[in-house]
Amino acid sequence: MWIVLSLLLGASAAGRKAPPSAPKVLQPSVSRSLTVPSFSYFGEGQCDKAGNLYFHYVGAGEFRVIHVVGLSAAGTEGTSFKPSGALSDPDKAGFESFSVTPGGDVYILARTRTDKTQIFQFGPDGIMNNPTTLEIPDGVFANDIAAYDNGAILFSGYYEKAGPGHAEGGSYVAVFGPSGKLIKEVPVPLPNVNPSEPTINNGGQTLSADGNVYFVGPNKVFVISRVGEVVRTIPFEKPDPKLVATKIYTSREQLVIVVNRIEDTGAVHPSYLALNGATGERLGYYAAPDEPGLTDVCLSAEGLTFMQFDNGRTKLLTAPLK
Amino acid sequence: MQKWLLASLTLGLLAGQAFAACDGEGPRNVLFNCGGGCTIHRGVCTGIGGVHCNPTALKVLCCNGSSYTSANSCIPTSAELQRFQPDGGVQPNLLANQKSTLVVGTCGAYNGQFEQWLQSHPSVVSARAQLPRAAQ
Repeated sequence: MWIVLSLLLGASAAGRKAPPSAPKVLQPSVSRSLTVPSFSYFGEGQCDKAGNLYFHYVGAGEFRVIHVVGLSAAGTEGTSFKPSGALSDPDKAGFESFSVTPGGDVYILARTRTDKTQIFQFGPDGIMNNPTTLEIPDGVFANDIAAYDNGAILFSGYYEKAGPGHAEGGSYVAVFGPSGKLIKEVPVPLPNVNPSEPTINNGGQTLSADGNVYFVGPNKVFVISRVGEVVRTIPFEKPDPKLVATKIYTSREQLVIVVNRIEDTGAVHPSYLALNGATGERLGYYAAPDEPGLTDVCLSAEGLTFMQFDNGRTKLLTAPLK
Repeated sequence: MQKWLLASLTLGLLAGQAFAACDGEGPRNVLFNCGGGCTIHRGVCTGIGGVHCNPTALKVLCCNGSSYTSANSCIPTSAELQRFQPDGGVQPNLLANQKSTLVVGTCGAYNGQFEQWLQSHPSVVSARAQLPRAAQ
């Protein structure tokens, strides 16, 4: 009878799924209050290697208005990255996405009224160069971009409709040269997007110090060179398969992947998966410090930096990943 | 950024639904309207029959992003859509044939202080760049 009972208990245990591992709550070690008044922004902030912060500013409220704001790391200075003249009219060129290089160059992806996909490139001083048009196939919609330090662009998007060689919602990833000319389409096997399903897509990309763009998919990081070669892949396992990976940070040998739990209500709860960039080994799984309204903005050797608006002021908290 | 846009939602919001003032609590949803004659395909407004679409952020749902899904009926109205009200207020109605979508945003107070700060704290290089070349 004991044998039967043991077998039953064993079968029962095997049938149970292990609960998703809970993230460890980060503890901030450094907190800095800036004199910057609080503000609203769309999407996610980015930072350069000097710790300057960049946001798609909400301003008058139109998502399509091209206006990225840069704040110096000390919070003492600000820079506007926005086109002037006709291109400042969102009816002529609407914001889609932006990318900041480690050196502080800002690249903004815009879609024009004539359905061209253009890149507006700004130097760290906020001065804009002539726009370039990416040779994107018809029917491809943008998801995100990352700029290489030579001005090449990794573009990711999806096909709106099925066509020769691609399905509806099929991914499109390619590297374009600084002139906008296609260098290479990158074979990144991503699941097709279902346009009728209201969900947030996996995918995020960032330029690393090694000169490659790290592109995060549902369960792999693709390391893509500026000529469109997949240099290597880093598999990873999400703590819960339902989590959606939307952003990746790199710092030295460390990768941090932002994975999100998305409630039916649309509320999004990020957590942070740290990996060894060389081996893919999981180093830790973390949650933001237990304070209200934190959003992650930077990864550095000191840890993950979060921004918070506190009594109308901007505050930065850095938490070591340990 | 577009990855944050939720797909193909035909929404309406109950009239008079109110949200508390924007207090910088963190990431919240932003409601967009694409306008009549447009569809939304994974967050991108697409014109039908040559219509040019003007996606407009209506409002940041600053304090309770979850409220949006609790209002899943559309109230036809001919009233003009209200402009974006980042500091809270009453959610505007949507026309029955219009579509909206969401992005994640982060809210801070909207009282003009940030714009004033930005103008009065230009970075050294950008301030120099804005001077006439002869003055540099």
